[in-house]
Amino acid sequence: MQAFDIALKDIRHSFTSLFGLMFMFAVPLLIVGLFTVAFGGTVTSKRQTFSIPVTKVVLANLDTGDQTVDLDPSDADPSTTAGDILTRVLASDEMKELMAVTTVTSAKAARDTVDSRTAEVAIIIPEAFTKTCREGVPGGAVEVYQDPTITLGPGIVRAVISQFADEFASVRIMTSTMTAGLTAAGITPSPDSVSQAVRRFVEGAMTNEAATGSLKTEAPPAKQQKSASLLATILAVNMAAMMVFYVYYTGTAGAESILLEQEQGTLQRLFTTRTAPAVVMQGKMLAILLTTVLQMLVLMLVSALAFGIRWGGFLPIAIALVPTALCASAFGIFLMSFLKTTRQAGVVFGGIVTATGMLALASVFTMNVPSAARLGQRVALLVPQGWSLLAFRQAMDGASFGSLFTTAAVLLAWTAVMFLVGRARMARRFA
Amino acid sequence: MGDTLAIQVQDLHRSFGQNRAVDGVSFDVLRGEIFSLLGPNGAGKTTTISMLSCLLKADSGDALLMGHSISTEPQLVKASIGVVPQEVALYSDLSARENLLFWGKMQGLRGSPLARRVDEVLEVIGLTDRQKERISTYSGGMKRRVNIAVALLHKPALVIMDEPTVGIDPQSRRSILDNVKQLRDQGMTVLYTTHYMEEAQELSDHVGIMDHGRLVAVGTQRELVKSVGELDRIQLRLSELTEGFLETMKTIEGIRDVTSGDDIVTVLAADSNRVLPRLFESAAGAGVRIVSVDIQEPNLEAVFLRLTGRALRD
Repeated sequence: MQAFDIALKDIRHSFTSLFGLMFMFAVPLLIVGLFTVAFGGTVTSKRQTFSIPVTKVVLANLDTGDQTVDLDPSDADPSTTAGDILTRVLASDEMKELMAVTTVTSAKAARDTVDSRTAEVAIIIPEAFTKTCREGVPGGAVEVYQDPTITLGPGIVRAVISQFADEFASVRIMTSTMTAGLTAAGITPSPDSVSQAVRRFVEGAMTNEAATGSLKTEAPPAKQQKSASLLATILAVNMAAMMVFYVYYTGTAGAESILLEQEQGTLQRLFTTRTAPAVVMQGKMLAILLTTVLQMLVLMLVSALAFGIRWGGFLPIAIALVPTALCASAFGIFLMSFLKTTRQAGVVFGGIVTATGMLALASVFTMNVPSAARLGQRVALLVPQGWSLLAFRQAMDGASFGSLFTTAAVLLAWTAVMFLVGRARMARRFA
Repeated sequence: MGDTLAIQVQDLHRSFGQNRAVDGVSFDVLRGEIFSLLGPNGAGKTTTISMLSCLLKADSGDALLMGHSISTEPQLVKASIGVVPQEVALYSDLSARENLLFWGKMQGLRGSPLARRVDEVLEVIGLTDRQKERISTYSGGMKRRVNIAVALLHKPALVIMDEPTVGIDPQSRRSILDNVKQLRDQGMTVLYTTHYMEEAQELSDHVGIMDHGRLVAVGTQRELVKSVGELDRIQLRLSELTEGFLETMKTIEGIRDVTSGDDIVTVLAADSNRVLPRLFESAAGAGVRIVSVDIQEPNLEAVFLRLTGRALRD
């Protein structure tokens, strides 16, 4: 009974500390919240695609073209230039979700528009653009002038222009190869035949999905939507990572209360009461355990409501949560058993808890880097936080109970070792 | 004899590394009395009562508190005692009432008996009106009173107080000393540590004098004073100390002992009024000038000085 009294007192202390509440709830939710905002909305939004903001583009097409070839005989204009085609591509319906294009007549006007922040990107197509596209001569590079504070929109614009230029390069190579081949065979191609071949390539380039539609983001196939969208997965993993990271902080901070009480003299006083020292320590442990459980429950509930994160079924999540709470508590007891003052605890928070937490996050940092993902996962499993994170990811991904139980067993083994070492050291100190 | 003793300490030892904090301490405390352990800081008083409170294990030796051994029955000992630590040991984010309720639970009290007892001790320490205020808002003296109240919640037969008046204002000190005497009047035994000679003199039925981990004397004040000969202590500061003058002083009638250190001579005499004129005459004859004279009538300070060769405040 006294253990519960001690636990209640400690929990009350934890939950009336503004600093404690910030680290338990506000910071992890804030980080995931910022992440969500950066990707344009929550998973509960009806749209299942990324919401990339439309980039304001101003375009100055100065291309004078090449009068010997009509690049687009399908229109009425007999002298369509490569610049005209690029302008059409950028202003097409397919690109409307990515960029809003307005045109001006001079390079200066285009740059001024960006300087005045009316547009984010200026595209200046030079006079020799068509000639460069056709013959590969220098001097026809498209200039992209951008607001330096913006990265995503200009990147997309550059990618589209680059793909467009690649298509024209293909045309040029094809034309050279074809002409050389025919000449070698003793045939001199007529300008008309070359023009027709170029036209077919250009038509292909204009309708090529790689050039115009590759950036279109679509909803994932129905089968994948069943589990979660890509954004939901990223958010869920990040939320789990933040939760695990800060739960271990809470475990350590909770155990720090033992040192704090020792410094205040209340721990020694507790040991002079008829409450047995073992019961006192049980109460402290219970407080840490209940605090971490409460923290995780609140974080899961709030993140589910605010960010639409799906944590998985009750049983799998319980299998991840309970060993994690136990392990975080034992982790705190273990670390604090090596310290004598709360001043030393600052070093532990800044160093060991953060460092081990970051190691665990290696699996998250590398999850989208195929070459490093495996190494990231291995590094994460060097620390207990990594196993906790793995347990939550398995619960969210609907992994088999066998895998979950294995992970939970490893966590409980970590718990047992750390608790036994920590308790032995504490018992020796307070004997 | 055992029934009349609240505490029987038998040859307690405790070392921290090479430092012998408590070195073979033995004493008895009668039920219903105030026993003071008097000694300077670092004498081993706190270590001794930490062992008696079952907070520290003794390297060797044992003690019986209310008939229970600290080494084999610590839980029974703890149930019999209330401990007032030297520093205020309370939860500053809780109110006085919440603190008392919590500590009462730690002593096994529950429900309405606990609530009633909390009301009683709040009344005793005079903080009923401010019981709902956080401890952090209290003055040092008020905190000390709550600190003592915590030890009284379960009505222990023996209260152990470790320098409860350190660092507080005279009014709060007066209040605490009166409370201690009231506890004795209510039949409780009090083991009280202090380095204030006046407190030990005012409160104690028996005094144990500690120095360097050893109990150098135990007894009533009268017994202790008697043990050092009930002599007046005259301290003379001289312009210079000559061997001849020292020998002359020892021949003066009424002087029992003369000790010297640097330019100070300590003279023990049965009656300082009769000895002083002769001391001045001898000094003049020896060509030595007496710069200052300090006379101390026998008290615990003098006893301590006599037994240890230094003052309590040293």
